[in-house]
Amino acid sequence: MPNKQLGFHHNMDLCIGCKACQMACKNEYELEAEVNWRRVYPYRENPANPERNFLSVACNHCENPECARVCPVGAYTKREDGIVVQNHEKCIGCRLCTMACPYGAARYSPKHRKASKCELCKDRLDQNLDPACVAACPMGALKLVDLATFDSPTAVRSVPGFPDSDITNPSIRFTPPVAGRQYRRDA
Amino acid sequence: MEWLSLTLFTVLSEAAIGLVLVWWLLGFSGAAVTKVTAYTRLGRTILLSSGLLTGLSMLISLEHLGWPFSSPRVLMGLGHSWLSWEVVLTGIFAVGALALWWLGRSGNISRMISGLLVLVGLGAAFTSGMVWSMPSVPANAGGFPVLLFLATTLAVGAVLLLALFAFTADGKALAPEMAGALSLLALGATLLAGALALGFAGAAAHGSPEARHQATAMTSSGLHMARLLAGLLLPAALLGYLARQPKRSALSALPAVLLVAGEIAGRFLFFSTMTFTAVGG
Repeated sequence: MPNKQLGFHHNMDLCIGCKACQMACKNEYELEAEVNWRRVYPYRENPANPERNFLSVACNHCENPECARVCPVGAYTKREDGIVVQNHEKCIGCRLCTMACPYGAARYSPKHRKASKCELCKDRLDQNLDPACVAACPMGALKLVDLATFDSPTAVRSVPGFPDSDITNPSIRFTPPVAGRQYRRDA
Repeated sequence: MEWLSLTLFTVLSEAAIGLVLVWWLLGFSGAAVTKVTAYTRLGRTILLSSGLLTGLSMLISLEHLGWPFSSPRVLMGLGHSWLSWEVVLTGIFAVGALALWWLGRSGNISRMISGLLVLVGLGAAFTSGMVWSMPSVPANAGGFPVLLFLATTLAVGAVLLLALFAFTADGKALAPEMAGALSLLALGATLLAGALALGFAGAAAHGSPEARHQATAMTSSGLHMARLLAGLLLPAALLGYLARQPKRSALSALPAVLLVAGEIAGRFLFFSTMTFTAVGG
């Protein structure tokens, strides 16, 4: 693990699937209709509360990013703080990054004929602001964390339905949902 | 038709590489030594055709790669990207084939330099396969695309050369001694391509959920069956028949037409059914 590795912690137990994170990202960067850097998925794999659990996923700023490995123009670089950034000017629209990322983080824009992805709101971080998605979450389910120091007893590297973490070692941690209790009134 | 330009780029460039490869391999036969003029003149025809075909395939690839003025930037990824190597080696092959055609005006084509050109071409086909051997496509992760692409290179190259034996004067001059052996080589390569196509689908059908999905998408497509029957079995049967025929006829071109069409269909299917890992399956 490097000295610093910024990433996300998604507390699935708190997430209500409102997609505020997805919309905040879209608004912040004025993304086109078909491009979403962050996406909220219904979590149907082994859910604690069927139809009430969600996964919110953007770029995972992997330790070994596949996007950087396959990009023929070297548009992707990993910064010292672990953020994987893309030089949008370099992109030639070959789409290889969108196919190579196991999490589908890089998205292709048919309008601009280029790919793009979440850069963890690096400009907001420079202003000591949280990423737009983190700031927008009404439940506090999404947090920016430094994995070099992050320590939570409930956090795990992966959950069922999330692609194999061994491919790229993604910088995301999850707190899985806890099954709700059922209370019944006595007859 | 998102994958069409990529399909045409890969199949056409592999056809061009295969043509030079098989012509070069036939240079080891006795007929190439005894009929050196016809062999060299046919070589020039092949080098010119291959250079132009590869150039055409690269032009087609600009539709999805750099459109077109940003495409030279692919040179920046040579340190880490298979795609950069694919483009560079394919480009060197195209220029090399044309240069060798030009140098061959004297009636002599260096075996060593044409051998190097073959190596560059095979390198291009290899890197092309490696581009698609990515962990995010579990069915492809084992390196199967490399074998598929190399098999296409050999099979299509052999049947195209067989067609040239029927339609060019130099080919006709070489045909009596070489056509039978070439038909058998083409038959073997076609059967190999078919076996690999079936092996690929079979291995995917026993893999991860994404690989199984890809196998189902592939095998349930009408293109899959059409390719197996009309693009592999029928040309294989024709090649078997041609191997026994001493005379060359226009029929020699039919396996080439069928196999190239079949490989285009198969490659389109390969790309369009790729199933990627995804959050939530």
